[in-house]
Amino acid sequence: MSENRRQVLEMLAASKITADEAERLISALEKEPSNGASAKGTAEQVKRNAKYLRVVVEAEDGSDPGPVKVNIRVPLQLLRSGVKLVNLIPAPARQHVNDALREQGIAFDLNQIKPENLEELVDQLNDVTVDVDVDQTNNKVKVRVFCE
Amino acid sequence: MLPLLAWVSIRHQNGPRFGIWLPLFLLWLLLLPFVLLLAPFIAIALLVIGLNPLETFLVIWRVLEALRGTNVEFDSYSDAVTVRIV
Repeated sequence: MSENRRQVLEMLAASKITADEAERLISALEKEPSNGASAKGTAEQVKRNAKYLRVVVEAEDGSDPGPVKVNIRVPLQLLRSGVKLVNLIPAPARQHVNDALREQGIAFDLNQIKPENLEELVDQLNDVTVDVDVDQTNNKVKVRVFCE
Repeated sequence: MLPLLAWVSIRHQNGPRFGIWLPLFLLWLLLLPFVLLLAPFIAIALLVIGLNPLETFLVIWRVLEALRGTNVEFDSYSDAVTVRIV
């Protein structure tokens, strides 16, 4: 039993409040956690419905008088559509690319890029936030990657 | 829907910022007759290499549609480039 509820019941027992007032107070107390949950649910829903991938970079070194700022916003739908574009590459061309990547020491297979695999990755990007903050003498770099 | 406009803004070597609205819808209108004219040949070429022409056109259409909302901004002390696809 929560502390607030206990206090309400003690007040009722001490006849400081009527039964109706106690009922109203308890209802109000019960609503508070559900309001918080629905707010949290709304925030999660907003996050899940994130439409853009943002990359924000701010770099400063001693040689330039001002910082270099890069701000990129890419629709997540472009990533999804781009994956389908990979599937349009003919099989011999994909093999050629795979061989070239392997020669460079990159064990990456274009044939494994499928829309269903990437769909899950794009959905998980909704929860990704990367903050990188490097501060060295005369060199400062801030990188932020997130979905909105 | 395909993107209709693009805003491109450039500032070079501390000069004034120059920006221009590009009417992408005119670009699509200009390309449309060529696409219609070449569509049969492109379709045959796609069939020869083993791709579904309709699926290919749909994928390319969706990629172009998804470009809406893309923003790229680069800003340094002396130079700045902004591209916004609306």
